[in-house]
Amino acid sequence: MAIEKLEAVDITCYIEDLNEVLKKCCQSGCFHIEPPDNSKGEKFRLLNEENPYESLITELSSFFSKVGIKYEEKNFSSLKEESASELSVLTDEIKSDILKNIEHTEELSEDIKHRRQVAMYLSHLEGIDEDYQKLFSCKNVSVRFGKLPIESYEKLSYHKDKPFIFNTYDNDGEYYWGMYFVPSSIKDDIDDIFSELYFERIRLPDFVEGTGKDAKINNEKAIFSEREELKNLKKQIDESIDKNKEKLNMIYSKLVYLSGIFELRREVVLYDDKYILIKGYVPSKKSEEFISLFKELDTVTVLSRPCERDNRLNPPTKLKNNIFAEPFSMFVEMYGLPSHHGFDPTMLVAITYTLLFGLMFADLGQGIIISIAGAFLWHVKKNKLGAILERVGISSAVFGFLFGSVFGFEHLLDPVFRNMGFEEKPFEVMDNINTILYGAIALGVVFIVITIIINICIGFKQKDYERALFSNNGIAGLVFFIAILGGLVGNLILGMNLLTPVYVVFLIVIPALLMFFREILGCLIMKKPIEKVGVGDFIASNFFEVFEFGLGFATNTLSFVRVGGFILSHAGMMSVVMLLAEMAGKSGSILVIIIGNIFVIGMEGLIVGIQSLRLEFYEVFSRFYDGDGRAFEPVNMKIKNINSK
Amino acid sequence: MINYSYNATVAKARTFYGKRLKEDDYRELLKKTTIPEIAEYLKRNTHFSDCLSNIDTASVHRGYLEDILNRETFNEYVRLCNFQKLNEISFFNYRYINSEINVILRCIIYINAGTTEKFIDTISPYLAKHSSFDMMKLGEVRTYNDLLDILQKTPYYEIIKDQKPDDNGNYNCTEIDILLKTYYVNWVKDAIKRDFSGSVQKDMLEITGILYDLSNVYNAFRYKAFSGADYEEISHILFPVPSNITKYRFYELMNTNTAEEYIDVLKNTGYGRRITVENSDISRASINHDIEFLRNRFAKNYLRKSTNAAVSIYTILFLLTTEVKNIITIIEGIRYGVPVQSIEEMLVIV
Repeated sequence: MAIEKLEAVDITCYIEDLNEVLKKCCQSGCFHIEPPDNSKGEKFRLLNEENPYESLITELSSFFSKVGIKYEEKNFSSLKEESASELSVLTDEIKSDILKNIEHTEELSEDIKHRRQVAMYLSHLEGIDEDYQKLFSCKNVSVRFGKLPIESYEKLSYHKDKPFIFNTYDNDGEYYWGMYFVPSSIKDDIDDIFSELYFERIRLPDFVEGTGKDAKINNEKAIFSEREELKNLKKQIDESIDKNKEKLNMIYSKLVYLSGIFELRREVVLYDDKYILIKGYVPSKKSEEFISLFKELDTVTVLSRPCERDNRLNPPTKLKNNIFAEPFSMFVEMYGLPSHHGFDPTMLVAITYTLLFGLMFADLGQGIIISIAGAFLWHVKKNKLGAILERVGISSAVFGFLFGSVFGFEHLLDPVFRNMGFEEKPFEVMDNINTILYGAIALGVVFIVITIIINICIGFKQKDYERALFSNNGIAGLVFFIAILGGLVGNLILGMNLLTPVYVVFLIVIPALLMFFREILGCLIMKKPIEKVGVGDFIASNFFEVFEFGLGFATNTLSFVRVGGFILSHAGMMSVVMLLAEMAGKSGSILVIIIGNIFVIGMEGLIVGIQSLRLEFYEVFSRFYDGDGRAFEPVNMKIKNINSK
Repeated sequence: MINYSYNATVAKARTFYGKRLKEDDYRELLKKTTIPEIAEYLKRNTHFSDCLSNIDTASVHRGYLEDILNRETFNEYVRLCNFQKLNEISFFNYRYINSEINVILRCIIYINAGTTEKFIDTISPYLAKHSSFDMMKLGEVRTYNDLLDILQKTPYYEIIKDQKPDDNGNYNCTEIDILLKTYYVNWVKDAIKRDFSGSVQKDMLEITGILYDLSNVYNAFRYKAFSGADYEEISHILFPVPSNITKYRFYELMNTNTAEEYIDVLKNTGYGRRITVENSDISRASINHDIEFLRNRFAKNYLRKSTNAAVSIYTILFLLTTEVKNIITIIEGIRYGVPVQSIEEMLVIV
């Protein structure tokens, strides 16, 4: 539940050493580089150079997708080549053979496609018992192969006076396949007639020879042999890719790394065209280790100082949490990181979210399932949400055990409770509706009080006394809230009238007035000039704000009723599943229970997850959290992010 | 008189209308640069996929593709009529009669041109199957008398038998066209009055009347624009349907001296105002498209609002025919390298 302390680091070096220095920064794994401030003077300027590695990365990336190589990050320390041109030559050497073979496979595939088209034609002309080449070589007679729509075929008899012969060899239901012979001298006229009849001419390629059957067989043989050749070629390509995959990935990894380093050059300042200034931050505990990396570089100076010593600095935020709370940082980042000098609410979120989810989704069996599914997502798929599910699942299981619910079976754990000395399960949800709803409100009160106390502490820490003392989330608001609650509880539940004039004046009216005048009082204490506004404006705006604070306390508290609502809804939904299972009879009941549980886990799990997060963001975070920080991003991670973009 | 309810046919017609080509489809078709690409798109993405399923789109003949699309529209009509045995009602022969008249007119054009031996290539056998005379036999016609011989037992014989050739041996196609089409329109009106009653009869008379009235508006414009015809001459070519234009405006329209004047008066009629509001300003270049647009818009409105089968079949067939015409416009446009913008302007999309 903390924000890691950082030290501000200034690195100075000659421009010649820049790449080496940046590599050391990456190697450290803990250096956050600051964007350059170029407003210092004429002698300071930024480095704006074209990245020579970018085009190579694009080229190699398209080659990877063409040949189906999946990029894997590799250690490239064995690669001696450094410059873009050297790496380009190396890449071309490997790529050229593979690309040549790929080109050949494309030609072959195209050829096979063509031959298959021809095979389709030949299959319709199988009946031709004359050699195609002989037919092609006729001088006085022209031959046209093709297909004629069946409807048009019927019209041929009306042209019987014309000198042509149409031989058909097949009928596919739509066309007659065949060829017509016509004296070459009048072929244009006959072609016109056939064209009017929608004859679709087929131009058979020169390789078609022999009779219909022979041509078909020869073509199929050719297709077979080309397919074999294609298969061998693809095998060769695969082998070649397998052989070079490792090296290509190494080259790609190195290019990505060098490109990233090059991009970092835009984040430094050049002074007097000679010197380089790099500004950044490292975690305090790694500061010495970081500085020691540059010991061997004589011309490089590294200076560090704790961020706390310099108020002008605006350091990034590096969250530091234990193994339980760490995954919940995802929710905090979603809302916005705390500032470096702010408060990290991750642990608070971890505890409250786990508690809320467990309460609202209390079922031993379903909790264990969620936990196992979460563990799978986290450990196998590396999905951070999985780690959260792993934790909240356990919470569900614990509350499920307390409520005695296992996959909707409300009395399955009764023997266990009896062995533990209870008469029956300790808490029956449906018999304690009021207790659950009042309990949910009480939980809300506790949450609100805790968040106000946190806000008061932050206010004092930041010396913001208006926030700590007079705001609705300061001491005044806390007293006002507790006093009203105390009065209500005393009157309605305990039967004690606490709302005496002294109580009302000191614990309700005065805190309300303090909230009303909070801005003026804050300025007076912090010795700041008071902003001048009209009396009418001041009264109107503050009256409505204080009114809204009071209303906010009421609605925020009641908002937690949903916790109770979901406890009841979960129990209700599972009882419906059980009822349906009963109706389904012996054979169907197991199936209904399984499907019902899956449905409830999926739907209610999702809703409870969202509602818990809503409570965190609206009822908890809104009281004390600003989320105006920026992330600490080590340069090695930054390089990865740049390249992934 | 038949009073009937054929809700299933109405539903079927409307469902079919839902499957029509939309603006996006036309936009996609206009992006195509070859006939095979158009055929492939129609085969993969439209209600023509069934009729094109056996077609090799890579090699299909343009003319055959157009023929298949026309055949499909005709078959759709046959299917709709057969669905609830509406084909037993005489009115539903209107499509066959219309096809027969078109074939006869085309045959006379071939006789005049002296190319009758090629006429057989233009006859669609699917039409011949439903013809009241041996349509395929028209392939053997070489003279006008040959044609009369074949038509002897049909009503068309009486209508065209007295036609005489001019000095060049040509028959007056325009006059025969007017005679046959007038016969057709009268036949449709009589059939509607005979076969339907009540609101069905009223709706059918209304929609057919509007469609032919609009044809009259365009035909009158053509005569005015190309031969400066006066009302007396124009009144001979008009279909015998009452006009929806007020009498005063109608006479004003017919008595205009130029095509431009005609358009100016037309703009002040109900039709003209509707075209201006719904489509574009009427001009000499656009009037054909504008009138077609309005005819289709009326057909669409009647299809949507009507709950009787006759109106549904009549209007859906009208719209489907326009759809095929649009596709053929795109095919021809691409074939002759017409700019996409110009092709788009010729399409009638309502």
